[in-house]
Amino acid sequence: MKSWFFIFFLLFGFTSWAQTPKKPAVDLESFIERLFPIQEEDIDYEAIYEQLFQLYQNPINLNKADLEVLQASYLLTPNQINQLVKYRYEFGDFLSLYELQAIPDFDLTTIENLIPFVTLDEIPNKPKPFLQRIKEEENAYLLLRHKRTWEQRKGYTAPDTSSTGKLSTRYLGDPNEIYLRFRIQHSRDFSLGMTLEKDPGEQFIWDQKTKRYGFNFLSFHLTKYQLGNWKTIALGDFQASFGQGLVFGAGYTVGKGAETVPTVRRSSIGILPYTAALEYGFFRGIGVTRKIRNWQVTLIGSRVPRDGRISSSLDSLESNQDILTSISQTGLHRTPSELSTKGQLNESNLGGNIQFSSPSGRWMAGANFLHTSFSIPWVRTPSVYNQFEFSGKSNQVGSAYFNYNWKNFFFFGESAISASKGTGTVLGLVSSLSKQVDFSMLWRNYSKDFHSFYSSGFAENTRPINEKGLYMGIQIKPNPTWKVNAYYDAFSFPWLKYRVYAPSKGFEWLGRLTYQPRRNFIAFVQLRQEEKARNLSDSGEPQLTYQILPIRKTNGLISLENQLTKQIFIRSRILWSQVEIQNQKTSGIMIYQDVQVEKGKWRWTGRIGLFDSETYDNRLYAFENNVLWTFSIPAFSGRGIRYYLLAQRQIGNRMTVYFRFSRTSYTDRETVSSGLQEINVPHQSDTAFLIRYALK
Amino acid sequence: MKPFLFLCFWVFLAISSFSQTDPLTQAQGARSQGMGNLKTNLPDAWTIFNNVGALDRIKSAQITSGFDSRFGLKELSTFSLAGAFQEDWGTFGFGISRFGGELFNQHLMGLGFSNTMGIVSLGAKIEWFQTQIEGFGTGNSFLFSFGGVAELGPKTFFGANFSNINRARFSKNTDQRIPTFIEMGITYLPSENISLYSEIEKEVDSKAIFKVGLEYKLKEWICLRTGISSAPNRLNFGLGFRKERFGFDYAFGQNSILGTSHHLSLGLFFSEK
Repeated sequence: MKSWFFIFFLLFGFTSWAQTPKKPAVDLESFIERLFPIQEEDIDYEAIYEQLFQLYQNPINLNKADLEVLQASYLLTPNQINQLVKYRYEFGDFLSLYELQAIPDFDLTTIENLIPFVTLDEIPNKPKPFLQRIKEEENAYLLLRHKRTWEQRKGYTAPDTSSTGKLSTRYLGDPNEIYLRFRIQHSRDFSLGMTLEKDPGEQFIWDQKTKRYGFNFLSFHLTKYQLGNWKTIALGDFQASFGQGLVFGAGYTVGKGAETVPTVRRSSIGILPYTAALEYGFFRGIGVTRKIRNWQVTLIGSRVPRDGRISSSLDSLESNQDILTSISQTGLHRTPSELSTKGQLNESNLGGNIQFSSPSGRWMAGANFLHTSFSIPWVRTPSVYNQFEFSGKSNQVGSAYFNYNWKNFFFFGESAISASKGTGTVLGLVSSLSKQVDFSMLWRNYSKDFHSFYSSGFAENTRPINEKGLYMGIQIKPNPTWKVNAYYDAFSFPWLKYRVYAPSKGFEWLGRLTYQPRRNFIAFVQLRQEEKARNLSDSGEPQLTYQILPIRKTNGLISLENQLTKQIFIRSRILWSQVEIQNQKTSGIMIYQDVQVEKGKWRWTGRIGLFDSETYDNRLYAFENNVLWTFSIPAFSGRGIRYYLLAQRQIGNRMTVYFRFSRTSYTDRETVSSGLQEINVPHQSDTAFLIRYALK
Repeated sequence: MKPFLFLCFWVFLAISSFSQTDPLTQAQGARSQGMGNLKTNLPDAWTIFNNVGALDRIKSAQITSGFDSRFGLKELSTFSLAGAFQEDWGTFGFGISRFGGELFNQHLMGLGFSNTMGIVSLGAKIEWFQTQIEGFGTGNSFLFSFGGVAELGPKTFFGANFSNINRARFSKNTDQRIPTFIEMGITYLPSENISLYSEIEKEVDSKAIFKVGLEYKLKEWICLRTGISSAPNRLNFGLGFRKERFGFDYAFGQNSILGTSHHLSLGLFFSEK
């Protein structure tokens, strides 16, 4: 799936108070883009977006927020966080957001970035009854989205007959993607929601035998916050995040990106409702958190069906035993084969967390435990590189973590051990060395047999296993106009990996220079380089199938963004990539221009771009505007033209409608994509249509 | 057989200078080694080796000694001694360094002078360099180097160093030339307790090396350092203590392939003039 999407956070709950500065228009897309990790592989980033969405959807209460909450937002430097806490300690609670200007080291840009995500709003002492509050909540909406590719893919054509007379596989359903979401919530009070999704190629059918009930995926949650001493009570789908995410990581988290300093640290956010349509990586059941003075105890119980491929293994001559050979995380059930994996096993989780925060707020420590069991034992198809991966019916993983804040240094760490005796450790710091310089460092060591299914520990690999590394990030702001961001990460993989059949090493660095002379003009140049080993074909020696050689990838990006007038915004970008394999260099380039026009109730966004890349390795990832709360970063390879047009219109007080048309035309090929996804013409056109209806 | 192989290995390395461990091409002083082997603008006694042009920017006369241990092999270690003395008309410095074991060793002795005119400091030095290989012979040569540091602004400095500009040979009997280096670097001091460095180093026959370094003064008496250098990629960390007239620096270097190296410096500072 090339198009990932992100549901943007809207700023609900923004009623106006007498002394609240005017809410500035937030460019959430560029904010997310800055935080977002550098795209490297075609993995699904939806969960990262959704997690950020969760984080920012509930505005932070500046009078209540502790260091942990302020750090989790990635909005402030350690120095600014300390100044804010100090100010609050000295002068008492904030009466107005205008007071932010009085905090030392808070500049105008910081305040402008911060304001959309913070509040001073209090829940009244004598609230109305819960049900009435739900009924009266203004932040309630219904969302319907339709997406479709209009060229016919091979999977939707009539099947062929093979030489043996068998019919070839085709998709069961139609190419429409339908997504429905209902959500009603109030920050720090409650959240209630439901997400339904049908992927393209899936059938809309009620069929108990294949566990299909209309929509292919259904997620629901009811989460209540602050009920007496209960901090959170979550029913339905939820995620959890504690410590550095080695046991409870709430899906994927931001890691290495253009925001080089604060993103290395994970935060103990606790239990969060799960609202993404990604059919993997969440708990379904009950999760509760109770606060007892400075202690906090969380219990999690979950049982959820998972997709997996089951086969029979010959246990003895008399009995066959079912084994699970792979777990499918794509959530796609388009063909009979994909459908046969649906809900084939049950995964049960029982876990807990205990956390102590020091009364001064200076330090925090906690412990996690998670027991996961599958209804069918998981036995991977054996190969040398996966021999230390998890196998069996159940896994236990436990960890201890700490956070310690000393002056402008925030230290953190977590160490975990899994049932296999494999260990994982993360140690790091985020600091403001001075007003101008912020610095972070993180060391991690995950053994080759460390198994943790819900982990999102900082790693170069997509999962924290078989990796050692050291990361250093810096941000230098010599004056309000210029900014330098850079990181360097050196890593090694002590055991073999997929497509790397030897222990290997590598490094990665990024540098970004940003020039922002005024609020609505930003220009930056970014360069990133990575060197990592990969299997390359035969060396000619009879006993060696592969040589393992370093591959060096370099990416460049030049960007210019300018709000010309109140109505017109333009963005121009040049993306460049180069890959060096055995002194052979190949390159790719993409140039695009965006224009955004706002007029009355209409808003138009358009792009036209050209791309030209020699190989798939040179593919270029370009962020694109999309319908509300959706955000895609497709990869472009080959040669062609890309354009899209997005229209948005407000209809009445309650309804907003979005429509997007996009098209990629290739000049170097006759067909697009491959397999059942193949399109027989050299272009691909997509539409997206979305209605958001406010219930109040 | 073993010593012979070892010998061949080191003759090759010394001549190609690829290792950057011999006293001539290595960065000297644990402060420099803790920040990715920076050379151009670290004004202390060690700069007689690294960039003689920065010598006149030292704050007080000083004598310092150092020891480098690499990959746990005593044959790859270096002992060094350096001193710098201020006069009204400039700063003098001397440096002595010995690298290697019994079978292969190199000695370096240098004498330099540096002076400041306005915003620019310039310096020049002459060095005697000896390479000795047991049972093979000894080579001697003289080298000339110069360098300088300029203030670009109150917080920004530029430094450059040109070493062995006369392209000396290892000995009269060989055509192998001692490597000639050019280094250029920029230093940025955003606040009193932080220094940021960047540098490029190029030797005629090898790849250009990029270096970045950071020094953070946690307290008046303790410094933390880190640095990265390319080709090959290396990470370095350092720690510095200063108590009245005594200074102690330690650096840890991680060379991704060969292992780790440790560097120590011990300095004695005289009162400021």
